Amino acid sequence: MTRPFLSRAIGAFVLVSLAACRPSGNGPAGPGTEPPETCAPTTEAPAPEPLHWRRHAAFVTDVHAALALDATTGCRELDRTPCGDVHLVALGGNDVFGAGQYEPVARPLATTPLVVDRFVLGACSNRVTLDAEATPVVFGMLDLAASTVSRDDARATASELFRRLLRRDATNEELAEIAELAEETNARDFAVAACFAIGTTSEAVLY
Amino acid sequence: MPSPPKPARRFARLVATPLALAFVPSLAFARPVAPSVLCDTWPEAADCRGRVVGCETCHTSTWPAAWNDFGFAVGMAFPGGIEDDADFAAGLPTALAAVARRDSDGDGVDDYDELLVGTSPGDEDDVWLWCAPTEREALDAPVRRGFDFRAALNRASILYCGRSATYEELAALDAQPTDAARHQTLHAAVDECLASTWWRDEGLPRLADPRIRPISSVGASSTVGIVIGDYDWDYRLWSYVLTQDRDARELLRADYHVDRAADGSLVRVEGTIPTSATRGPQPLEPERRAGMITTQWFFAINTMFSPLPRTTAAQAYRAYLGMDVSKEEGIVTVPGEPLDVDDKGVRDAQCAGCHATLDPLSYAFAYYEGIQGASLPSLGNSGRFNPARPEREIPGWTDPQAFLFGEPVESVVEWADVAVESDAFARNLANLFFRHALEREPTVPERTAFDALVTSLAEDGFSANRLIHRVVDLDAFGGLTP
Repeated sequence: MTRPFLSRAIGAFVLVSLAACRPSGNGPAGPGTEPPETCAPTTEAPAPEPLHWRRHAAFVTDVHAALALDATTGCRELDRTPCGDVHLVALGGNDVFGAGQYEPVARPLATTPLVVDRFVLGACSNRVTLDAEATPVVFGMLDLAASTVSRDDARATASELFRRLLRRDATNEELAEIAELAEETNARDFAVAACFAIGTTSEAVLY
Repeated sequence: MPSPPKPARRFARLVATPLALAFVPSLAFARPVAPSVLCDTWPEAADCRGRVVGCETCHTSTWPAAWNDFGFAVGMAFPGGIEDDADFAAGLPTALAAVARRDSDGDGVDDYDELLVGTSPGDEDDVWLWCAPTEREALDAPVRRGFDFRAALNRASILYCGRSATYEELAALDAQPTDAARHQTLHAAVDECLASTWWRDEGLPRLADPRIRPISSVGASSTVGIVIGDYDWDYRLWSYVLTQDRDARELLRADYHVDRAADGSLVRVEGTIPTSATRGPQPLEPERRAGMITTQWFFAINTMFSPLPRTTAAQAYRAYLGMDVSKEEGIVTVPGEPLDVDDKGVRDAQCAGCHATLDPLSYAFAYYEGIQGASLPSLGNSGRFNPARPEREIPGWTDPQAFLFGEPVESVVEWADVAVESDAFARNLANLFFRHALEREPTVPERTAFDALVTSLAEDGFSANRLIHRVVDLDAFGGLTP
């Protein structure tokens, strides 16, 4: 029987945790035989299901929804083509009509981290520009023309970004960490950096 | 029975192999009848419940034949000589009984027990040390204690809505007072996703890609002017059948087509579809239709110009029954086959193992045209039923009996009827949505839950939506290892 690597890894982990179940000197055991007496039910908490890749459709939609963007206002290559379309395969989608790729790649490619960075940075930069030029949608706590950012404004911005990009409330530690990005930085750069830092966490890419 | 130490087993094998080959020369062949005999002997084996044992159960290679530890042990346990398949089939049950309580691969679990739980008795790295199942703690919801409803809602939203659950949706879930209420909220969200346009027009079509295998350069929107079929019909039928609690068996039983209404919804249309300047026709008469495996595109892309459309039958077998003959899956040898009706040399020993299954699968498909014209608006006769086609392509055609799962079938429509009533169809459907949700095969301890998914299809009217709701309740969907 061939099984995916992941299943083997899970199997190996559970094998270790069930090591006490191996009958000692009583011969092999299985459902066709009585379970060995030494096989006590495990009391440890079960291992969690491994993390999954938030693939193309959900990743692109999530970033766009979080920053109130769409394919025309989000990240675009050469200002012509949506980054999500250009980097479809590296983001975990399958290019069925363009490349005859009928199934997506099983796991992230070597270029996936670069593309994630590219996509989020492009989206964050565009959102900051749009907010600076009109009524702000995401960065309303900041004066994007200011050369400095107060600690409170930085924390408020971080809190908003956590809710938008990771769909949860930030911890105090996380707020403090993001607020540090505001030191010696103008408001616009801070906005992009905070958005990028939160939007490219493993939590944003995996689930 | 305790296994001998590994070096001793290896040495014994080293010595015994040439002896076996010398004194039982006919052992040096792979035996395509073995999977079906094994399942007749031990129908309770995991791989016999819905699919046929693969050759890898015993073999490391079928041509030239080579065996793993289990296959070797079985071969050495044969009661007498083996002259032909009949001798082999008669002796195999006895040989299997002889090795049942052995641990051929030395991994700590009996061969029979490995087959029961679905691990390989010939691969020491493929093993599951078994313990009696523990009692499940009862909750006020049909999921196990520890089930992470937030994780499940997020997973469901990503899979079936194409986006993560929102902050507000997660907060609303958290606000529910009981697990029962959280469970209800989760499934209400799943219902909403399964009724969404994203699921119908993007999520489901991506699951169809490897089954439809579109090629845009020769599709209806070809930019090079060569059109062999319009696969949009295929995608629409797929999504139509797998939404709104429809019977998934319609995938292979539909005698209708599906069009898109002005509001984007999918609507059923009857009869043949005439050609137009922008899309391909569906010329096949309803009484010759069998859903996804009789569309014009399916015949054009799979049969193409083949006299005997083996590729067409193999793709139907692979896509809708989950068995890939090219990987030696689903081998059900038909006695006397392959006939080699098109003189391709498939009676040679290295071919016959698979073609004794594949060729009888293919005969019924020979009456449908492959590519017969390649441009809109007419597409010529592509995909049409033509009783004279086999004789035209294969002079001397004798109308050989077609088979599916060893059962005679008279037409592709009958082929499809047998297919949708098989365990393989149900298992393949359950596997499709299980793999989509968790990106892996079921593990050994999940096998019982997976079997329950398969058997639930009948009571749920083969509704893909109901199946997905059951997948959402699996331990792993809520972040737990079973």
